[in-house]
Amino acid sequence: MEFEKNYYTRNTESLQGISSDDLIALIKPKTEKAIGIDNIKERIDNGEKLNVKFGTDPTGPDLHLGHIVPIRVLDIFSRAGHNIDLIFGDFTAKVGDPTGRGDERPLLTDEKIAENMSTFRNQVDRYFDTTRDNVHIHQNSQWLGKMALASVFDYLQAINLSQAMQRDDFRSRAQNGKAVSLAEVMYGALMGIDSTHLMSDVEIGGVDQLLNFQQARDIQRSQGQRAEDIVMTPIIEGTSGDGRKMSKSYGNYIPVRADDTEIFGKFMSIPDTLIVPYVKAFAPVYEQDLPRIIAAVHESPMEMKKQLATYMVATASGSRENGLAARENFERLFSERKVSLDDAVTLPNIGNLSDILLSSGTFKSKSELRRLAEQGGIKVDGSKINPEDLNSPVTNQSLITVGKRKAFNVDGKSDE
Amino acid sequence: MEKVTNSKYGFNVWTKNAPKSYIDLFAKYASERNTPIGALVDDVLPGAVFNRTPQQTAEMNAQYYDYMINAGFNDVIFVSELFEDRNYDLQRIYTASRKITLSEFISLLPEYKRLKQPDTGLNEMIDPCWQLEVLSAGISVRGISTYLTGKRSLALFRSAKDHIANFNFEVIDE
Repeated sequence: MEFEKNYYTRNTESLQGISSDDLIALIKPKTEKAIGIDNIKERIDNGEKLNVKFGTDPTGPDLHLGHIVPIRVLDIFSRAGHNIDLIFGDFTAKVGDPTGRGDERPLLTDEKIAENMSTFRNQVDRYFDTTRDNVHIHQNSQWLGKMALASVFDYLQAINLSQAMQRDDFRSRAQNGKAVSLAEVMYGALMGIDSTHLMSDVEIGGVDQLLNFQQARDIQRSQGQRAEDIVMTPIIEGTSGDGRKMSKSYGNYIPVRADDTEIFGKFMSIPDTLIVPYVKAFAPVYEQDLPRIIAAVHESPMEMKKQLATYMVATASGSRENGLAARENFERLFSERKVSLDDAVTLPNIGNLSDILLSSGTFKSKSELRRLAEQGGIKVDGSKINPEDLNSPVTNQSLITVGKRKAFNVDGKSDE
Repeated sequence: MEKVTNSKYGFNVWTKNAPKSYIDLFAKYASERNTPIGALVDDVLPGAVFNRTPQQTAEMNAQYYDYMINAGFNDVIFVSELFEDRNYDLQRIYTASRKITLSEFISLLPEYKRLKQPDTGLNEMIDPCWQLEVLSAGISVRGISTYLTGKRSLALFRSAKDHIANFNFEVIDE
C-alpha cells in the first residue's frame, strides 16, 4: 500500500465541488461526536457556502500535534471552498485567562498577542493554509471589547445557570474543594457571542468543548439565528499509548515544530494500537478507506507505521522527499547498525542527557560520555549531539544511540 | 472644631425605584461623624435590566440627584459618569468574574432565586460582578475610604472585602 504517497498527494487536492457525501466521509474519521451533521450535508446539497468557525487561544504559542486534529477538519472545509473564520480569543487573554488553574497568568499586551497569533499561523500553516482567500482571521476583542451592559444582559439570559453548572469538570472540582470562577462559567456564552457575531453555521473543536458548544448554540438561538452545527474531534492519545491525552506536561507529545528526524522517530515509537487512530486524525482518509487501512496495519504494523511517519514528515515539511529521506535515515540507523528499536533499553527521563545515560550503568563517568560525544558517537533520534548537549533535557520517547550497538529509549515524565 | 480627616464615606444605590427615605439615614450617620459622604448612584444596571430609554434614565437620575443633595450627601456621581464608555462594560464584568467563584455567587443569590435555580439565567452573574467594579471605582476614582451599608447588602460587601484592595465598610441599622 502506497499510503504515504497517496495521502500526501491528497493533502493539497482541491475539494471544490466535492459532494456532500464525500465531504462527510472525509470528516467522519476525524469526528468523535457531531451535532447536526445531517444539516451540514443538506446545506451543502443545497449549494450553500457555510461559515465554519474555529476558535483558539493566543496565550500559548507552542502547539503539539494534538492541537492539529481539528485544524485538519478545518482544512477540509477550506479546500471545499467554505468560508473559514479563525478566531483568536484575545479578549480573555487581555483581560485574563479564565481557567486560571489557580495561578494568575500575566495579562498579554497587544504586541505579545500579535506575536503569538503569528506563531500560531506559522505552525498550523503546515496543516492548514491560513492565507487562502476564504480564510478570515479575527480577534474577538473586536466585538467583545465593545459591548455595553444591555447587550451583555440580553446574551447571558439565554443560558440557564443549572445547565452551565452541569459540566463534569466543574462538579469534580467543586467536590475536590477547588473553586470555579464565574469567568469559566461564562466562557461558553462568550463563545456563543462570537458565533452570533460571525453568523457561524458550523463550529469545529475538541470534544472536551461540548458544553461550551451547546451554550453557544443557545446564544445563537436566543438572537434569532440558526444554531451552528458542531463537529468535535477526539482528544488524541499521547505517544506513550498509556491512555493519557497528548500533552506537554505528560511528555508524550510531538511538537508541531519538531524537525523531520524527531517527528519520524516519535511516530515510530508509538504502540501499534495507535497507528489507526493517528492515521484517522492526521491523514485525509475517507471513511471507506478505513477497512483497507485497518487490514494493512494488522498485516504489517511496522510497515504502516513507517508509512505514517513518512507521511507526517512529508506533510510537516511540505516535501515528500523529506519524508522519504527521514525514513531512509531511520532504516539506516537500525539496519546498518544492527540496533533494533525493540532492543533499546528503556531509561527513566531524569535530569539531563548525561544523567539519563549514566543511570543505565553502562558508562563510567561524565568524562567518558563527553569523549564519546566529541567523537560523534552519541545520537539522539538519529542526530549527532555536541558535548554541550549532554547537559540538556531530553524529550520523552527519544531514542539515544551510543556507538553501533547501544540504544536507549527514554520514557517517563519529562522534566520540561 | 471641625474634625480633620481624609476619610470619606460612600453610599451605593441603584435606581431601581424612586429614592426612598431610608437613604437619609446614611447621610445622617456621616453628618454625626463630621465625615463627608459621596453617593454612587447606579443608573446603568437598572437601565439595562428595565430597558429604560435615555429619557427615562435622565428623569430618574434627576430625582436621585435632587433627593441626595437635599438629604446631605456631599456629592453625587452616577455610574454612567464613572464608567463613561459603555464599550468596556463586558470587560468590566469579565474582570470581576475572574475573582468571584461559582459557590460564592450562589451564596449571594437571594434565597428564592437559589431555590429556583433551573429558572435562573447567567445574566444573574452580572449583578455581583458589576457591583464589585462600581465599588472598586468608588475607591480608586472618587476617594471613598469606607462604604456604608445596611444589612441587606452585607453578603455582597463581605465578598467585596475579599476581592477589592482597601475595601472597608460599616453596617448601619436601617
